[in-house]
Amino acid sequence: MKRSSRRVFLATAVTGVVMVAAGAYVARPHLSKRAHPVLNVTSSRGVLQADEMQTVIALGETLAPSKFMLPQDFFREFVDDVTRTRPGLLKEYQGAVQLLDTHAQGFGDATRFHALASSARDEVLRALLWHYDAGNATARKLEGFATSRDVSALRIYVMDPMIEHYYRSPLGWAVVGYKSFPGMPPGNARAYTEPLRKGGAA
Amino acid sequence: MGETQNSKPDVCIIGAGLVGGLMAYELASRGLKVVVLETGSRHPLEQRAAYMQDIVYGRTQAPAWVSDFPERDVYSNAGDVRYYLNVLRAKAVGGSTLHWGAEALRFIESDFKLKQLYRIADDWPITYDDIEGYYVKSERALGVAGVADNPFASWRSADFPLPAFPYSAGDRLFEKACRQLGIDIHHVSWARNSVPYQNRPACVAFATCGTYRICPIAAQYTSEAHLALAEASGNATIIADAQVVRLVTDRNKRVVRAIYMDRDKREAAQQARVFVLAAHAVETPRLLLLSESNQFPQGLANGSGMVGKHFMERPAVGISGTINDDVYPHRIGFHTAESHQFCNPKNRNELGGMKLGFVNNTGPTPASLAATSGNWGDALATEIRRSFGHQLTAVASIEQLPDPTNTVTLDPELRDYFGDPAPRITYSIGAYEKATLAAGAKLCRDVLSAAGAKRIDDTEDHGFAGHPMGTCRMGDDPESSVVDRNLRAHEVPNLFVVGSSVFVTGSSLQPSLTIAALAIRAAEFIAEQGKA
Repeated sequence: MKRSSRRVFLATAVTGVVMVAAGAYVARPHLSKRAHPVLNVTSSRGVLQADEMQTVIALGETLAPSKFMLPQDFFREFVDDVTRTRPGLLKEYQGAVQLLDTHAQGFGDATRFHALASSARDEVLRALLWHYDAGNATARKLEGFATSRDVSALRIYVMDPMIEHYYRSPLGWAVVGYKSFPGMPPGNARAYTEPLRKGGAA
Repeated sequence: MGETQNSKPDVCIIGAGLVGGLMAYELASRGLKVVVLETGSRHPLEQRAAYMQDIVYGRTQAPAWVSDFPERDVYSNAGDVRYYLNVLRAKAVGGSTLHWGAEALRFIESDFKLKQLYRIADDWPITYDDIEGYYVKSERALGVAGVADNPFASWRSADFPLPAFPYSAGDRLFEKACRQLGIDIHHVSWARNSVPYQNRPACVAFATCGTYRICPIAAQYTSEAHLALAEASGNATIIADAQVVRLVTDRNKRVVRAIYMDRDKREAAQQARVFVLAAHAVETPRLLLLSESNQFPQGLANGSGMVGKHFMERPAVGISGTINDDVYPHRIGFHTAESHQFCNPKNRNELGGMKLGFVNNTGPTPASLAATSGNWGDALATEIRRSFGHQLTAVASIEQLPDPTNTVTLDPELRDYFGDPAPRITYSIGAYEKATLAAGAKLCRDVLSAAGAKRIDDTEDHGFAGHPMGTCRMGDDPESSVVDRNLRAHEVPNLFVVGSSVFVTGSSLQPSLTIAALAIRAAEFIAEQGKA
């Protein structure tokens, strides 16, 4: 490369980097709001309408592993509780329902998320969100910046708590073979001295 | 200002924690009339299961006794190291025994005479031999489960009252690794019932005592047990939600009353013949400093200027790694094996003692893995199944030497709910402790490597065990100590200071059993004095 071409290349590269950095800096508050959507704590509390709850339960079924049967009302009771007691969450759940139902319309004839087959529900979520393994803080952060406020809110205020609720419960511990776990003692107090038998003896 | 009903008992104890419970019981059972004033509230055992559920299911972060009154519990920090006081203490009837780890270890003989043996720090005015009998009484009072298989322990005149908890499946992995390195491990002694004892049930492995710091069935000892016995004797009264703000003295330099306030800032006074200050290593010196007067211009019992000096902790470093084997974590809340082989090193003048322990509730739970994953459905379940239960964590807890620049003082600006200066903790870690932490981290890494762990932490970050000590040290010389060997204030004949605040030096071992031993010893002394 000639010296003059090298100079042009360098100048272009530096200008590009500076412009991207400046753009990111200027857009920082906006991006941050998208990644960390603020709850409207003055919005009303209460419970979802029955048809809204259908969508949320369908979402719960998609978030839970398919191998284990979900008890009836497992997610309904949890969602009713949080939307009734925690300011701002009813609005976020309603927003999530709207988002999921809107995106469901791109899949076949369905007009609602809950009407989709489980594989299609999974596809809807995959179209909206990233998927990455635990501890990947970079992916988590970038997802927040790269998606809209509604999608961030779906992840943070709806999906994460529902998933956490599942994995704190006996169902979640059963995934790793535990029938007893913190808060739920085993029948045999000395079970801890032995390796766990396959199938989760204790 | 109101006077309390029980207007002049024999003894007023300030603080209903480990010391308050044991002393109230010991004194009341000898026929003395006792009043216990406690800053915090009562949290009946019946509420404990609900507290546990709230924490386990993520509805709250901590039980109410940690966080129920933040305006009262303000404090400030100075020095190089931030000290998270409110995470490490509990203000409630039961005190810090409500959320302690319950490891009930005796100090070793050398812990009491570092100056004599290693020319560092200072010696206690009492020796291990002086309190060995009180260690026995404490183990029986608290119901300590253990077995005398620790080759590094000092002599003992009696067996443990309860059998030890056997090794966990996870600790056997450490046993194998330690054997390769020539490290002896042994059972741990716990103030937790391995069999039913003193009307409390045996542990059934709720597994919430470690991470969540709560036992819903009181298999783990709390001082509520002895407070209840003291009350049942008819000789003791416990007044909760009573923040003592001043101790008032007469012209004979005797404490005549404790002024306290309830949650509505209503003031009352409690008289007594003898006062016992047992409010932990931060609030104890703070109250003495708040009780300044013309007679005691530097603060009550502070002619030596030693009140608030020599604040100590048990710094600790934890190192984790992952192994292919299953570790089976979170099945009990405590560990069953550890090593005291490094608690008294030959070069202790250069490197402090350290205790090597293994964590049985280590590594992320399914919920915490899920919380940072971007997966869902079957993909998430597969990820959790693959990742869960392969973390090993070894911890080295070390001793910290007393340093007069580590202090508890009164903050010049910050005020608490009652309008009094908040405690300020000035705290740093010295070169001795830094070197010991580095050695401890290396020891942990060696053990993890021997266990076959990969991806071993390279951090040197340290935390604390939550054992504040020092600040009102005992000694024979009134010029350099606050209380004498019987824990009576040098300058105030009817004031006793009892608890970890009187420790001259710390140890790499947990302080609670030594606190208990000193409490029972002080109660006997006060009772004997009362007869004279």
